[in-house]
Amino acid sequence: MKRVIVACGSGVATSQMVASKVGRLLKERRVNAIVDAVDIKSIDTHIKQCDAYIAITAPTKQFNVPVLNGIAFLTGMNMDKELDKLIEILKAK
Amino acid sequence: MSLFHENLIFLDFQASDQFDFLNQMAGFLIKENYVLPSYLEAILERERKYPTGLPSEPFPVAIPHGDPEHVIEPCIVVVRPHAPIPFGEMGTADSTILARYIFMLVVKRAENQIALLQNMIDMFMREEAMLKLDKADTASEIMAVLKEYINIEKEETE
Repeated sequence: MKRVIVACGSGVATSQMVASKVGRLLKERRVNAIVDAVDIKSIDTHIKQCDAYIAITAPTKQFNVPVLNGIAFLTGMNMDKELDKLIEILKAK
Repeated sequence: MSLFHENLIFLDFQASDQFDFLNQMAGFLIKENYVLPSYLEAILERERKYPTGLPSEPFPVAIPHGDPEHVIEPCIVVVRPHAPIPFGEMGTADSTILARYIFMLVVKRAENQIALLQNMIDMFMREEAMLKLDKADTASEIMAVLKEYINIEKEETE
């Protein structure tokens, strides 16, 4: 199963909101994946076990997995574009 | 139990800047036993590292929140400052927004609050709702708008 992680500074509120929304959107588009909200402090561990990373904080370094814009999912602004990108990533592997 | 309370709605709130605002608000929440004394340091640090300003339209809104371990009694504080307060824009390292509203999320990790928080963010993006919020003059009028758009009652029974 493909895994998507969402991280914000505290692992509550914003990351949980975005994770639940992305999970629902993927289900609607019939894409099978686990979406987890994680704490940014443990990002290095989680990043090794995921296929895409949705960032709500400004990335401070490069990662080996695709990084998507979490603010788009949070606010709905430019969300469709990010969702298409995410689905493409999850289907490609 | 709803996270919103009339006594946690502040209109025309006076603060000279973000630091002053968070200081005053954290002081209040500590005094009223909503959070532990460690909350002040945590929210200042958190806002500096991971800013929470949303560039929403018509009004930018900031949603400061700290780590859940400092929270005693979850709640959401709603503030309309006397003058907009600069907050860093979420997801950026150097952009700033001028927050017309500040919703302080004093929350723990809990699945049942996600719908409420999502409805709240959706409300920030709805011009009609935010203009209505902006016309409200009292805490009870603000509460009525929140109830209408965030569907607080429904959340309570879930």
